[in-house]
Amino acid sequence: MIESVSSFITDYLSKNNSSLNETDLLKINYTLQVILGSLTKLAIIFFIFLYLNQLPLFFLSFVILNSTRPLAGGLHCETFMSCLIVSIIYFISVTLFSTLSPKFNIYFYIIFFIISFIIILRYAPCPNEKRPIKNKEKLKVLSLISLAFWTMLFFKLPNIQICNCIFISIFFQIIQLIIFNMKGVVFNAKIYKHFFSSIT
Amino acid sequence: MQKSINIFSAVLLKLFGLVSSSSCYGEFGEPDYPKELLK
Repeated sequence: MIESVSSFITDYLSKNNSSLNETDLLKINYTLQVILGSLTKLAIIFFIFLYLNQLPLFFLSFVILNSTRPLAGGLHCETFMSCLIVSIIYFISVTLFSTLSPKFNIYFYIIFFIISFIIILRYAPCPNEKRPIKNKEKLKVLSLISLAFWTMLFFKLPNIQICNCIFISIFFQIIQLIIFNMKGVVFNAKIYKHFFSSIT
Repeated sequence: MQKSINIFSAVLLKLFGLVSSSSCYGEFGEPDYPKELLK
């Protein structure tokens, strides 16, 4: 369905904007799939957290995820549905940990963030194999800046829930980088085709 | 109307530049990158 909507909009633009060449149309179609897929997932997860009455923690974990993952990279699922399920499990795990976990010893956190810096420095970024990137050095530096920002916030803020949310989000990111570099690249299949052909 | 279509196309092309320069956007999946653009 997302592919169909994207193709429909791309066709419309192609008919009404003669300056677009074939490459532009491919780029536009891909971007529309990215935007529509993300919005669909985001809307579903938003309503789940609205129902659970945990929107503030969801927004915080969403901001942390989107300030680390696009820079450092991470694992991918093969289908839209598995991606949606993993995303839901991810946000629920972060919320549960943030609300339930006590604060650990300060030295544990110091060691954790030092290890995180080393892993980001060593392994980030880890891109999707089907979409190679050219600006690896820039992404590595931005990943380190992002981690430095969240680390400073972690040690400055007194709120346990926010600190737990930062800690577990960074932890999941680091774990992904480790798995990624142990197993190699995990890339997507035709996610939208799989998902929408199975439900229609 | 024509101007809006041109602006919308330009915005999508700019967004493509942003998306394709990131390691991976947002959550845990993304559509397949068009093979034609890898050449």
